Parts: sequence; C-alpha cells; structure tokens
Amino acid sequence: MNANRSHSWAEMHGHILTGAAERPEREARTYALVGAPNVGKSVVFHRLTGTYVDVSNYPGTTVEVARAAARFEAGATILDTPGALAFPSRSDDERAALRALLHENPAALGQVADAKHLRRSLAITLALAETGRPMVLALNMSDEADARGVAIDVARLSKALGIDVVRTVATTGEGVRQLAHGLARARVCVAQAAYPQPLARLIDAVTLRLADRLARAPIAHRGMAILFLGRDPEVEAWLAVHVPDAMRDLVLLREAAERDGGRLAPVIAHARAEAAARIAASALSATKAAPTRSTLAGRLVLHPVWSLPILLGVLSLTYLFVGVLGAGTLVGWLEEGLFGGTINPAVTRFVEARAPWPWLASLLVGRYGLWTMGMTYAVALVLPIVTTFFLAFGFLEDSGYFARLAVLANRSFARIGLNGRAVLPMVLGLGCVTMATLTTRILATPRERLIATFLMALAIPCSAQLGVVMGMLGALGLAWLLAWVGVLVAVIGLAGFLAARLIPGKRIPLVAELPPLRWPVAGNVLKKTSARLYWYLREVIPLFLAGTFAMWSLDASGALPWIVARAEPLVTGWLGLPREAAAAFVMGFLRRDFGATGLFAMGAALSPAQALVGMVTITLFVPCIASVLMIGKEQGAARAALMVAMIVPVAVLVGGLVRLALVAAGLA
Amino acid sequence: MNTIDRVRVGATVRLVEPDPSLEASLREHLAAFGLLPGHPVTVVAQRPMTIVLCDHVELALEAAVAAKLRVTTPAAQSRPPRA
Ligand SMILES: Nc1nc2c(ncn2[C@@H]2O[C@H](COP(=O)(O)OP(=O)(O)O)[C@@H](O)[C@H]2O)c(=O)[nH]1
Repeated sequence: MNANRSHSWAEMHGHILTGAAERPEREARTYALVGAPNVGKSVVFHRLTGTYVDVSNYPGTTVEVARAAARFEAGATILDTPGALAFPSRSDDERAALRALLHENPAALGQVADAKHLRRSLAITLALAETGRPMVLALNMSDEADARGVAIDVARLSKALGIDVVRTVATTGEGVRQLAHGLARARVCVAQAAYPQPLARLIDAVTLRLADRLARAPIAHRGMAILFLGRDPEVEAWLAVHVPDAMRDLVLLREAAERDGGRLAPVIAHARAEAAARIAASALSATKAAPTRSTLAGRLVLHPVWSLPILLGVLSLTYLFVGVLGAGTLVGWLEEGLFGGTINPAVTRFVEARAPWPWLASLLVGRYGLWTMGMTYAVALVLPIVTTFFLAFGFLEDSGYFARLAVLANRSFARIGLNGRAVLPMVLGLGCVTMATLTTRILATPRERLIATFLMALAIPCSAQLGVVMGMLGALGLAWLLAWVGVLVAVIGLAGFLAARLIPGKRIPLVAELPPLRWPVAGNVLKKTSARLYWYLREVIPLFLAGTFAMWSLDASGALPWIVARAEPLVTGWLGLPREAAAAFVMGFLRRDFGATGLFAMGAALSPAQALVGMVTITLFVPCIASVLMIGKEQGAARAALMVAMIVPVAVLVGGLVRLALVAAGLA
Repeated sequence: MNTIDRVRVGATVRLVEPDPSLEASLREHLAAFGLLPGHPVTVVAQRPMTIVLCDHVELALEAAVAAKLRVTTPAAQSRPPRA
C-alpha cells in the first residue's frame, strides 16, 4: 500500500488539535465526496483517484473515511465520506460525514447523487449548500435514469443552483473528467431552502450569535445554526468546544422553540424537501418508459413463488465457489501442498537448528507455534476461504441481491429481535465470524448489534468449520447433516427469541432502498475484495497470533492438560463421547474447525449419533479466540466474558439434550 | 383513511401525513427517502412486504411502517403522477 493513509477519527481529532485549524491557505487542497448511500460514490472515488487507497472504510461498516491522491490535480487529496441520507446527522455514517465537513477543511464538495431520484438528491444539495462550501453536483447513474425515461435539463438545473452539474456514469467513467474539472473551480450553491416562521427568525438569531463569537467556522454560521437547531450531535460537540460560553444561551433558545413546536429537525427536512421538489420539477421532464429488464428481474427475485428457487440457486453457486473451490481446492493446494509440504518443514528445520532455547522453538514452530499453527491457519486455511467468500459477497452486494435478501429474511429475523439487514453479517459469519462481528456495525442500534453478535458467536459456524462438518456428517448421510442444521436453527430461533425479549430496547422495522439489480462491475468487486482482504490481514491475523500465543501459554504452563482432565467427566458422561473428545473441545476454543477436525480424526471411533452430538456441541461452542477478542473490541470485555460464560454451558446443555433425544429415538 | 399496505399492486396513490403514532425517528427516515406528504408513489408489491416506487427508486417498507403510512383514497389513483 502506498502512503495515502486514512486516519481513524481519533487520529484525525488529534491532528486538528495540533493546529490544522490554522492551515496555510496555499496548502494542498482536499476535496470531499459526499452523498447518500448506494449512489456509486465509491466508484466515483476510485475513478477520481485510481491509485491505491487506504481501506479503513470497510464499505458501509466503519465510520472512517478513505482518502487518496487526486488524479487530476497534483498534491490534492480526495476524501470519500460515508453515505449520508440527511443532515442533521442521525446515523454513525452521517455523523462521520459531517465530521469530515467540520474537521477536514475541504476546498470543495463533490456531491454524488442518484439521477433517478433527483428530488431526494437535491434535498441533500440544499443541506450542503448551507455549509457555504463551494460544490459540484454529479448526477450519477445517469444510464439508469435514461432507461427509466427520466430526462434532466442539466443546464437549467445548474443555473437554478448556481453550481456545475455533471451527468456521470461512474461505472463507465462517463462525465468523471468533467466532475474533476468542476471540483477545481467549484462555486457556492445559491439555491436555498426557505424556512417557515418562527424557525426562520430563530435561525437568524442563532446565526448572529455565532457570527459574533466566531470569526471563521468550518461550516457557514447560518448552516451551523440550522444544524445546531436540528440537534446535530457533531455540531453540538464542535460548538461546545469552540464557543463554550455561548452554549447555555443557545440551548435555551432551542429549547424554548421545541417547547412550542416540537423537534425542529422535521421542520428543517420538510422545508428542504419542498424547495428540492420545486427545483426538481423545473428541471425534470419524465417520459413514460417501459419497465426495464432489471426492474422485472428485481421483482422476480422477490416473487412469492420464484424467490425460493432463485435463493437456492444463488446459495448453490456460492457454495460451489466458496465451499468447493475455496475451501476444497485452494485450501488443499495451500495447506497440504505449499505449507504442509514445503514451507513449514523448511521453517521448522531452520528454527530448530538456530533457536537458542527449546521454548522459543516450540513457540514458533511447535504444536501451538505462532508460525506452524497461527500463520499457517490464517494464510493457508482461512485466507483462501475468505478470499473466495469476499468475492462472492462483493458480487452479491453490488448486484443488488443482498438488499432483496434482507426483504426476504425480514420476517424470520423479526422473530429474533432483528430486521432483515442483519442477514448481511449473518451470512458473512458463515465465512468468518470474527470479521462478521465487525460488520454488525451496519445495524442501526446497539441492541441489534448485541443480539446479532451473540447469535453469531453461539450458532453460526464459520467456513473453516463448515467444511469439516459437511465432510463428517455428509459422509453419514443427508439426514444427519439436516439434523445438525435443524438443531442450529432451533437454537438460533430460541436464543434470539429470548434475547429479543430480555435485552431492553425496541426493534427497528425495515425501511430500505432496493437498488436495481445490476450486473456487477468486475473492477469494483475486485477493489472491494482487496480492501476487505487487506483489512483481514491487518486486523484478524494479529488476533489469530494472539490466540495461538494464549493456547501455547496454556499448554506450556501445563494448564491445558489440566483443563482437558476437568472436562472429561462431562464429555464422557453427559455428552456420551469418548475421552479423547475432551481435548478436541478445548482445542475448539482456539479454532472451531480444529475442534471439529479433532473429532473428525477420531472418525470410526464415533458412532453417527456421537458424531452429531459432537458436531452440534462444537458448533455452538464459543467461536475461536480471535472472535472472542473481536467481540471484546466491539462490545467491551465484560460482555465478551459474559457471552463466553453463557455460550459454553448452552453448548454442552444442547449437546446433551441432542444425545438424550437420540437415545429416546433409539438411534444412540 | 387508507394506508399503503392496503393499496392494490399497480396503483399510484398520494401520501398524506403519516399516522401520528409513527415514531419521530422513523418519520424522519421516511422523509429522508423522499416519502413525504403530497408525493405520489406507486405500489409494486405487497408481498413479502410493501414495496413502493418513489421517483424511480424502489423502497421496501415493513408492515409495521406501511400500516401507518396513510394515502389518499382510491379516487386519487387515477390522477397522473407529477414529475
Ligand atoms: N448502472 C450504474 N451503476 C452504477 C453507477 N455507479 C455505481 N454503480 C453501481 O452501483 C453500486 C453501488 O456503488 P457504490 O460505489 O458501492 O455505492 P456507494 O454506496 O455510493 O459507495 C455498485 O454495484 C456499482 O457498480 C452508474 O453510474 N451506473
């Protein structure tokens, strides 16, 4: 990766405190791309930059911005802010976008908008206009607008707004050069929303007070006043730092207004929407167009009858790609061939010959060695699986299928306190639970994040483990495999049902945009995949190494055999498994598939019933150490510990119940 | 008053103020998507949930929300949607 580092917000704040506020005028310019989610902003960003980008904006999930050097202006930087549907900000993404406006001092804003939805796009334009920053409007997805008979008079719109308006098709690059050109000579938007009284007077009053106290502000005083009145948390925080003595007065003004007429944000949104609708109507001429093929296909995907075979088809293709090609062929080459056959023996010989102490050799290349276990696992086993998985995931995401899957899954997810959006992290969990835990950030509320994280930790098998389970139970017959699936679904259902009732808070209903079904652009899918893989290498591999180290310490200190001995009575008694299975369970804490592999290796020693009990228990058991560390990072150490404390007994309990059921049915 | 979850598929209706019991945050969310009083939308599906076409963008609305999104009565259905 090159030097275009993107910063976390914490870093960025540090940066500001060390004097970015007094940036010299001649410093290289920064252009910020802003816009609603799913308008093609990342594709535009890649077109404008084209170079490697730092990838900390795991798309749609983290609230960090990506930045890269502009292609069209030496020294200039482009920022890609998270998708924002409205200001004042409400979601984490919107807050992050606003933070960029407050703290990045952009020379100009490039609004990327969906040409199919001009009215909504212009409401955002009007909000951005109030920041007082020069800007350009890119009407992206113009190809799709054309296909739907939406004709926009660009010259007229440009005149009404007082800024350059550019038709773009990010995927083909059409209009991107004009957009770059427009950024360099951007102007301040002259169109304004007209606010009704008494709000308008209040805005003036707050504007005056701010102008008195602040010589210069990153957002024009009036814009700042409007965002403050709409209770934007970022602006509130900024003002508290920069005009602390005025805050009391300002808050009193706002509270008085809210007492009379309720929250002001809806009034602001309404005024902007009306102005936007008027401008849109003056620039739009819609003709009737036949429904596009993509529209029809999109409806087929949600059709009461056809949705199911389509879903099964998508799942089978994904399985062939990830399960057979990734987990089978590629892992075979890498793990057994390259690592098992060539690299690891050589590394082991090298280290054993040179390590001054035996413990060092065992730490690096022993049974729980950082290289022989940690790195080999991360690179030879998980990397090929997550690579194929992310390719498939990116393809489905860009195709618009996932948005529809959320609609299909919504009803089932409602029962477990979630909404259809949770289908994304859950599906990703089938690839890597550790990564999926991070992706729960796309969910709207902390409550949903907690429920989804817990359910994944409990009952979603990751790809590494799925392979082993399929191999073992599949060999016994489809019925055993389905029994395993059935138990997991029942556990998810029951645990989710309870979680939804016990965890305080309300479920958020699904309201989602369904983007047209599209044939994904290979370059975009590849870029996303490489961004995610880079993230995986950076974030997850250290966790695998930390987990391996913990395992090695347990082993070296003699704690591991002790734990295994303590677990034995439970394993042989309640679960009815052979003694050796105890070691597999403890191993399963480091790597779930390892535990499963441990049982797999016992092969013929297990009856089919024992295999089912073992696999159910191992699957429900805590995911790998890496995922526990990730849960700790996202949810806090206390919750991570609580989850482990709940999951282990549940896994053993359910495993034993399955055994009892099998005994009762005469199958064990 | 009719709500959008009860409009037949294919019909174009005009939104009015949503039911007062609809939470403020959801109301703002709908507004951000362009679902505002006075605006015409076309219902394209009612299963598995209500899907409407609003300015050439399809929006899926869960039943709990759709049942609170009020629309003008069918007489207005024949009115041509404005741009
Ligand atoms: N047809 C068409 N598709 C586009 C265009 N721009 C982006 N896309 C597609 O729209 C989807 C969303 O794009 P993305 O950049 O990830 O959206 P973001 O959320 O705004 O960053 C992807 O599948 C893109 O390939 C465009 O101008 N025309």
